[in-house]
Amino acid sequence: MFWRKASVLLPVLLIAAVLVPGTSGCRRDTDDGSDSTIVFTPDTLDYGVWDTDTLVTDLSWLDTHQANLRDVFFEYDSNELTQAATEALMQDAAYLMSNPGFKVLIEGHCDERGTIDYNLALGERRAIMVRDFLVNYGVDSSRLQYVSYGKERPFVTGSDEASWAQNRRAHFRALPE
Amino acid sequence: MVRPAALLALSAAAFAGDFLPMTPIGSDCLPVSVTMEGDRDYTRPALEQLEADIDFSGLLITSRDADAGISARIEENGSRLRITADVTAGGEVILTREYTASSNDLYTMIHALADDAVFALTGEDGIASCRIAFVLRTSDGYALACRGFDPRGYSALLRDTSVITTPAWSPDGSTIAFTSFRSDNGDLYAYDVAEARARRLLSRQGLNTTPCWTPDGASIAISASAEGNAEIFLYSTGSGSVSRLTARSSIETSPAVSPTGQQVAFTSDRAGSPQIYVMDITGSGAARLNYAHGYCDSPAWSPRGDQIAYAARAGGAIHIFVCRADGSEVRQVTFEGSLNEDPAWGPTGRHLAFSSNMDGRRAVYVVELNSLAVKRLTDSGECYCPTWSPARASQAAD
Repeated sequence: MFWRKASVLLPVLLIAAVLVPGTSGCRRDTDDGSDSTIVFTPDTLDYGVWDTDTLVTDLSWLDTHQANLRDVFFEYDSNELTQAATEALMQDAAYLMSNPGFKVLIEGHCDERGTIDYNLALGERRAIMVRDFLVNYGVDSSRLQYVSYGKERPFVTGSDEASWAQNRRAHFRALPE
Repeated sequence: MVRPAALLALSAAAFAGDFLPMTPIGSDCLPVSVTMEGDRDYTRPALEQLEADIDFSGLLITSRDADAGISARIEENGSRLRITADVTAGGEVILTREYTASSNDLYTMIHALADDAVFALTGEDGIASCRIAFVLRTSDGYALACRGFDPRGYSALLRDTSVITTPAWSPDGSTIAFTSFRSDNGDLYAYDVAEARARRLLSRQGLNTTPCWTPDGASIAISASAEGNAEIFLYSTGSGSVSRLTARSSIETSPAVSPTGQQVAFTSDRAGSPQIYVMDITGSGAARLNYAHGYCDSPAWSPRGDQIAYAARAGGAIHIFVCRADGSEVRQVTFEGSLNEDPAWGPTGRHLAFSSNMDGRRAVYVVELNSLAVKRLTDSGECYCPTWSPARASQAAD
């Protein structure tokens, strides 16, 4: 099983070695141009092992940033920042200032009770409010993008105030630069 | 399921507040007797569909006793079906037609026969051959789907995990414009019906949404926010150029071009809440449509030019309303459910499609405006944003 995995990985690793020079964990045992074999033993499992699924740049560090950015919630039919929203945004702004190296997509969302067309534009107002706050705080505006989903992509399905409150938000997504 | 809106109106009018219910448009329907003979496997579904198409036309109505008639015969020939039909008025045959197709296309033939009978007897187009495209949302994602007025179910034209919304079928039926968020931006796309493919038209930053075709099919009115906030633009399909119609700090969205191509109704919150306004196609002279509601959106201009449908908040719910193009004579069309929106006129101005949660999950419904009969069109997933194909071109008599 190991050897079959290694032989599948071999051409992939050789390509990776060409495309991603200097990346740790990918080494050729020989330089004589022959098909080299990379030997995997249980001892070296914890580095130098590549899963075929992750032959893309590892972006899990973005998930950490995203988890640390608090979403901002809005009152019904409003794009004003409440006290709680402002506090969350100040934390987010501080986090962004101390953690450079990635971009942020601000998604504006609405609950289901308005109409589709108007809500697409209303969600944009919410995203812009949040973007403007962060820029005023000092976050570099080139790091910030926004999009509105209106009520098209709710977080919670349900027709009660608890669900609606969950959907009226500006949501942050961390993106690579 | 058919439920008369007028009956609903009688029971709900007490709670509806200030609005009169929609009244039937046009004249009484012409009674038509319908008979279908021939191959036993097919006569029953064929007759049922023909009667349904006639009764939903808003112009004819099936009746035992009638001066006008459709007498048809259906025969199977291998895997093909043939329908021969005479349309009579006052005892005289005014149209004889023959239709042949594979047995899979039984309903297509019946719709064609119904439309031909409507045209022969009234001089107006029928809508039985129309299809309605709509957005279908399931746990798998979003689809642009379409179906006709028969038991065949829907076909998914496009599927995506990203949001698809606000589709609009072109006047010539060749293209469906819609907005897709697959690039994390509200991009305007055109789905080519014949090629079964979509291509991107506009990807300017922000929203490029709520498309509405001009009657000549040369331009698409949209709401776009690339220049700061949502404004109405005209996108030329030939040159790809975009010209701006509105310039305000408020939200301008949801344009509806009049059938003359000279005016545009749209939604604006310049007065503090979303309301319907009407301006010239050049962007000048915007005037508010009416002062009947606290919240309006989604105007749709009747192909007859004389009426505008829209969604408005009433009594804690959102309902479909119709008024004259000058904003007067506001009438309420829906009374059930809490969310009725996206009104779309049928190509002859005798029908309105809309989405409603009156049965729980959002579904697409169609109301025929003479009898005010409401039919539910979709029954799987969450369906909304209906848009009509054009009527089948009436053919010259053989």
